[in-house]
Amino acid sequence: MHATHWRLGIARPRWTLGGRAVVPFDEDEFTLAVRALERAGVRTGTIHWAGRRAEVADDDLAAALGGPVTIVDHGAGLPAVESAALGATADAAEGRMSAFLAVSAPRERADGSPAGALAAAGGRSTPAGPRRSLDRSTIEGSDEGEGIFRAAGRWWRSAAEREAVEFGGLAEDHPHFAADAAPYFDRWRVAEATATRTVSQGAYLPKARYQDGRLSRWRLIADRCSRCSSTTFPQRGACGRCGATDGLAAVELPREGRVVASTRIAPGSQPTEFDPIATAEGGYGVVLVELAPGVRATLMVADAPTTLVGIGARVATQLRRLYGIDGEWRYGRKAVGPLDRGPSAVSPPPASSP
Amino acid sequence: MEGAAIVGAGHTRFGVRPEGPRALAQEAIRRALASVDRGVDGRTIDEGFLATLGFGGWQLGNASTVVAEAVGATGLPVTRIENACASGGFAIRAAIRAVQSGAELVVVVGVEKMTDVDQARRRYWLGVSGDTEWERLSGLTFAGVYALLASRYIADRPDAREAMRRVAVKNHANGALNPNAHFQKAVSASDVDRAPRVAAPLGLFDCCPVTDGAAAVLVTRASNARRYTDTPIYVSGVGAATDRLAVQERDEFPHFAASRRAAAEAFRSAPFGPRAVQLAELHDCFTIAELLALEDVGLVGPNEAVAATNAGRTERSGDIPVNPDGGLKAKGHPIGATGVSQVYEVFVQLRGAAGARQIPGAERALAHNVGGAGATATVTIFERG
Ligand SMILES: [Zn+2]
Repeated sequence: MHATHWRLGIARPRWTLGGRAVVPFDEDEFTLAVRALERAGVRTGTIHWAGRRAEVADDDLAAALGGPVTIVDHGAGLPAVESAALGATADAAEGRMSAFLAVSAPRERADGSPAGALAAAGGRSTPAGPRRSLDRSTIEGSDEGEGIFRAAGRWWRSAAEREAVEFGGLAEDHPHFAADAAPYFDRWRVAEATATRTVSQGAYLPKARYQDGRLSRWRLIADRCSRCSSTTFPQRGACGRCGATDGLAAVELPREGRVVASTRIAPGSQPTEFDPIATAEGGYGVVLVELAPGVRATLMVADAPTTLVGIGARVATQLRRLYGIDGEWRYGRKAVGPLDRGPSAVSPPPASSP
Repeated sequence: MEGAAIVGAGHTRFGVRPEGPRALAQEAIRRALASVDRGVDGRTIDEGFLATLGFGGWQLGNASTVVAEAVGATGLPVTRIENACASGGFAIRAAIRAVQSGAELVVVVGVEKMTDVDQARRRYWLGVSGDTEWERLSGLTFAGVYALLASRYIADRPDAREAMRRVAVKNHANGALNPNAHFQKAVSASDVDRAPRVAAPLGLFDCCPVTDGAAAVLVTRASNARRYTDTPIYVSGVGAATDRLAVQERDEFPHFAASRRAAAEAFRSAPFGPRAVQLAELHDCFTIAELLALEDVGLVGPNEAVAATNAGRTERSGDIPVNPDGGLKAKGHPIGATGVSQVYEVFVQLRGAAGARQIPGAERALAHNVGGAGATATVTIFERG
């Protein structure tokens, strides 16, 4: 029997409530799915989706991952997990790039299901990426309660035991990011209830222009100039250094970088689109991150109540909800971390209390 | 090339004003006309420029007609200039160009009405002039953008916090002597330190207020200036420049290349260099901005702004007095009016008519006006004839 190689990617919000992972204000099915799929190395192909899909469109997922994808929606609930997994393994057995994805982002306290996403990318030509030996206890042990995420972990474990698959690796959040959601959970839900009805006053971007900007805002795509070899970010259709309009090649910038400037916005000083998150979390940080020499991105700091990143800190980036507008969520990368505080960390003073 | 001169200037009280933008503009123009020593008929004005952002959207289209109505010259060609907070500086520059092209007498009016707009819309209008796609979408208004610049500046210069505190204390002390200033009250260093943070490291006293007001000046050809007054103020040089809109894309971060370029252009035609300037109006929308500007326009060398400020050199008694009128910080920053208000201050100072805040013997002055967080800038240099 041919053994298919699978690589796993796991995304879990850093927040926990009563020992169970919960989504903060700026995470949902889309952000968790993208993170798990990125970590599994999925860029293209068919994605067998188990769990609530919210409003995630094929087009959005393709823009986030960087290649054409087709979502096969297997619905929610435990039978969906098995159905999606069987679909993915059947595709892979025939040599097609395929991925299994289980997502759970419950927003009610009463729901016993933990938030998270698990993706498994399979095929004969599994894409290269970070490799780490599988720690099965990570999948099963962390996920208490009845839920789709746990079921997915259990299904893959049993599949591995049947030796139908070989695991190539596992990537997940840094475990030390865990934070207690108790002070914020109810405030997030209040904020969420009104967020997409916000009247735009300050950060309005028409939908078409927002969608045009997804390459740079979601995947940090820049232009490399073949004439002067400088990097222009975001893409402007011309080299920022020498003005060349041809010979520009799209390149993906690193998704980690060093903080070169840092502020903390006190509640009341934010554009009104950010009123819900500023109110729920008591303000937020914004940093300028150097992703490559001379190439910087202005990023909000995610998980602000537990995160202080000063100049010199090294941060990663993750796709998160930015704000809601016109009944929809707008997404972009935020800084997460710090991965380390840097050689000469200077922390900004905390914002005054609201 | 034909030079230009300022022969009249008018200023409203800055602050929370009951009047709308039309009445404020009219008041500034009336005062400018009345300030002309030998008198002038408003109907002899042959060109006008209006500087305004249109804060709150009061008259986004065709606002320039207000100027023609105010000078009683129906039919006067007036152009509205909008370059955010540098609208006034760019309008002054346009007026200088107009007299160089043959105009006889040009009126420049800057006006903004900001306090009658509710809080949420105010934050919108304070944000419209920055980069939307990265800076706004990361949750920054202008205070946040300047806070990023300040954080970098401070990280590289340990005494910069003390210098920012001194800028706030100095400009409030100067504002206390200016009857047109929004805030006419001195503040102490501990007031500055104890103020709530707006966007760390910037606190409330690092930020300029939201202010109503207008200013107007009259510009004519240098060769005609003495027709209006025995003490015209001559334009020695003018420069203007732009930079990338988003701070993240700037080569000279945290400095403003636009200010540096504008100053270089202005000094090319001036008969003296930056070290000969005896009085400067610098764009201090946030305390950090005054420090950046001191270096960018060349009043001090690179990395010398902190030491110069902490040594008191920029106080009224120092050798390079900066913002004797209180600056944007204490006088207020009605966006479109600011660049014109700076020239008003230069006009009264160089003519020895600045009252309690007079810098004795000042003959050469510089005005520096910035749009947004350094995306646009003008520098204009003046001397007494
Ligand atoms: Zn190039």
